[in-house]
Amino acid sequence: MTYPLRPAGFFFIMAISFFSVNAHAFDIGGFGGILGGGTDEEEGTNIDIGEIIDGVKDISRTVTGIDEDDEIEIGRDAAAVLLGASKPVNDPALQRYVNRVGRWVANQTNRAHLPWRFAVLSSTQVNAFATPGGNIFITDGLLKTLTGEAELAAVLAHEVAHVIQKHHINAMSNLNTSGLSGVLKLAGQTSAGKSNRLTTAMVGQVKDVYLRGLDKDDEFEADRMGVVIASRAGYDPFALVSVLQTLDSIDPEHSSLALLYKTHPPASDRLDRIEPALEQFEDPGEESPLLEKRFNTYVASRP
Amino acid sequence: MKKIAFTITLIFACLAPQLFAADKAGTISRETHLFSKPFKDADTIAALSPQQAITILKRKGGWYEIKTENQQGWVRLTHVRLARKNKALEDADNNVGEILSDLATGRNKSDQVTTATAVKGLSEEELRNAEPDVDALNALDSFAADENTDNAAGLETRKIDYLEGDGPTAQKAITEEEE
Repeated sequence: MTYPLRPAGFFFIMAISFFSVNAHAFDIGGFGGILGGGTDEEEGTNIDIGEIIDGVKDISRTVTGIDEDDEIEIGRDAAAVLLGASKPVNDPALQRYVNRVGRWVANQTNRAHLPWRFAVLSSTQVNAFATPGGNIFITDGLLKTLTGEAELAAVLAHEVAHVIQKHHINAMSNLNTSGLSGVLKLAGQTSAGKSNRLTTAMVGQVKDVYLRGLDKDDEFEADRMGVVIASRAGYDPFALVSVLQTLDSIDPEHSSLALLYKTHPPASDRLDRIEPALEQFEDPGEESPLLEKRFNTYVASRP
Repeated sequence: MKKIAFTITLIFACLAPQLFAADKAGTISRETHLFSKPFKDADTIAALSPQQAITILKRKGGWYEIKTENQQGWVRLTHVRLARKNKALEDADNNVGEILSDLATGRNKSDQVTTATAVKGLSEEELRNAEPDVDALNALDSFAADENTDNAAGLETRKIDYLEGDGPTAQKAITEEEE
């Protein structure tokens, strides 16, 4: 309880939170892997039309980022891994409610057509996850720190933004020595077909990404985009600020925050960086609904 | 005598945030201003400095109404940090959410619930050791909402752009550059 007396120096750590920008949205290195990929199987000089077509398909994948079907398949692999670490809470009404809120939020984006799935996981860790293609998880530990539907929507909107921007796909291709083509190969999409999915290597790749976390700038972008997406959906633009303030009020050394802070910037830094997204809402006009009552029906009043 | 009084005050100060959890104590996070009204064009009452202790009275949009030692006014939401709830969480084992929700609602069911609901999962080690669970994934389908779902809470959608440099438009611009 020493907060009013905290040493001044401590405070400035927050102020100098400008991280070197390591933009990696499109990894040129991925080309090397793809162009070299054909030599894995054959060294011959015969021209194989099938291979050329595959090559063109691979290149188009890199240019557009990634084929959406591939993205969904990789995301399902990643979701299965996360579900291996924590199961959904056994409360169908709650799960349907979170899907209703999450879907409404995701519908306000350019990727409403994705097969969005939302779930509350029974972990007491305070965290939330997104996997490519639209699988979003929030832990029970985080859900219980929230005080209204607007805050739930804010958390889900942050995760939706990761999916919209394909942050995890980019992170995977940066970790993989062969870039995106390497990830696709691991996912069994380029050569061996679906039988090869969820190989040990793929599972390892997924764990790597979720244990390391994303680039800090991806997190800051997801915060800013999350504010916009939740506001489009009609929710209070400042709800994500409330969530981050609550997280900031918990001792960062607490065990339930260990993975969150290993993979995310400190909540206080995120509050500093979210400000530009909120400027347009600064003067209070109409109060946006927090929908605490409906939220409490499903969340707070649980046994 | 003075020493004892000081000690008592100190003990009380340490316990206060816990005893009066409903009183939201906080600190200022950066150089900012206290405004007379919750508007950016309102008159400024005072300059506020980092770490200044405040009491939060209420929230309106992007503003907190706060009290400093001798003044009252409005400050931007993002310039405030809530007091740490360390003391209350010491006994919480790993169930922070339960404790915080009790603090917020004034309930006190943590004692019996903590042990019963202390389900772990998704710690670093547990994720490292996870075996993929495809059945659990497929089971999520039955709770999914479709693209035509409305929110059923009468929320009105708004047209708001992402900030410049954020979102799909920014990504598309990078792609075109590389082409």
